Amino acid sequence: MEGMVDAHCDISYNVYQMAIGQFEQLVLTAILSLRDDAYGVSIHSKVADLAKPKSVSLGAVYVTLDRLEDKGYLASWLADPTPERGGRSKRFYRLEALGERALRESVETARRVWREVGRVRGWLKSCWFKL
Amino acid sequence: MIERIVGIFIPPACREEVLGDMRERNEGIQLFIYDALRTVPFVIVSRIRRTTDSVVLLMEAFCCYVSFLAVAFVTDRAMTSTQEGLLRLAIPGAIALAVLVVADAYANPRKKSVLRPVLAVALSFACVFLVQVIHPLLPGMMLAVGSGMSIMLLLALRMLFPPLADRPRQAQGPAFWEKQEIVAAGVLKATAVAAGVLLVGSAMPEHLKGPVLGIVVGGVVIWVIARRV
Repeated sequence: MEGMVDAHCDISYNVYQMAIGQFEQLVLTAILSLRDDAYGVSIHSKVADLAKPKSVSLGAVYVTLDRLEDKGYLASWLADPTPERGGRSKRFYRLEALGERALRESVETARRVWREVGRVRGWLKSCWFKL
Repeated sequence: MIERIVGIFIPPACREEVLGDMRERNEGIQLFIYDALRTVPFVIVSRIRRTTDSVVLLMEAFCCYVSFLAVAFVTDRAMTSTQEGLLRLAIPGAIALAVLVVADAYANPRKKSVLRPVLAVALSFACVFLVQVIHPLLPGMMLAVGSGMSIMLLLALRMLFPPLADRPRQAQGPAFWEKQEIVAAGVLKATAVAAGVLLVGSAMPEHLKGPVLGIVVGGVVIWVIARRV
């Protein structure tokens, strides 16, 4: 099963080279941290928290959720209707293996960039002291 | 009441959860309307993006245009020799396809129907005839025959490539993979470049056409050779 998931991931990455943007990264992180309670409103408030001080619209979150679901990074399902929502259902989201892998790679890239920035800053500081 | 009105504009595929989320977020009517104005356009655009396959859309556009062009070539050849005439021939197809794209986005995936592709195509050309009544696009006979040919070709295409919401989903596979544009991305880019060159070329003064065409062809040849090497 694990091999199948890996093959799946490799096909998507090698053939289509689907990388994720910063906003997609925020949405995936929000879903990961919300676990079983990841639906439109809770994802939006979590993303808004993560994106501070920038404001985030609910529409932008929906667009990103749709795109990530199309890419196979997320899976979604409708839950039972609840009275506080006027008898309407919530659509819950779950991170798939592909999504986890994309998020991990994105974090790794950010870490490499930060390490490089630190190295350059250290080099600049040493140059400053020499002067 | 307000919820029902807003619900009309939200595509049925995501109406339930979007309306529920907006209801949960907003207590008052004003806030609800403000939130709807900010959210619903994004939801519509996202649904259109999900249900539209650009390669299939390109094939449909080609079929429509060729139908009207063929009819014009037989009935009024003078129309095919002017730029304005060629542009007028594209208008009915453009209207029909715009309606078709919106109809696909607003199709309810929970209600499967064998007749849906036929009805969507019929609706799109009904809109073309409605526009024709308000503002004549083409001579009546040309529009009728061209529309008939377009409808037949579009139905054949839709049988080969059904709308994405109607296709059976493969297990565990991203929906993205079902689009033809994934397979034929190169064809799409090449067509867009060719269309762009023709569009720019047709609007260029006569004395510049030769040199520019030479540069473009030369550039393409160099690019192809460079890629091979």
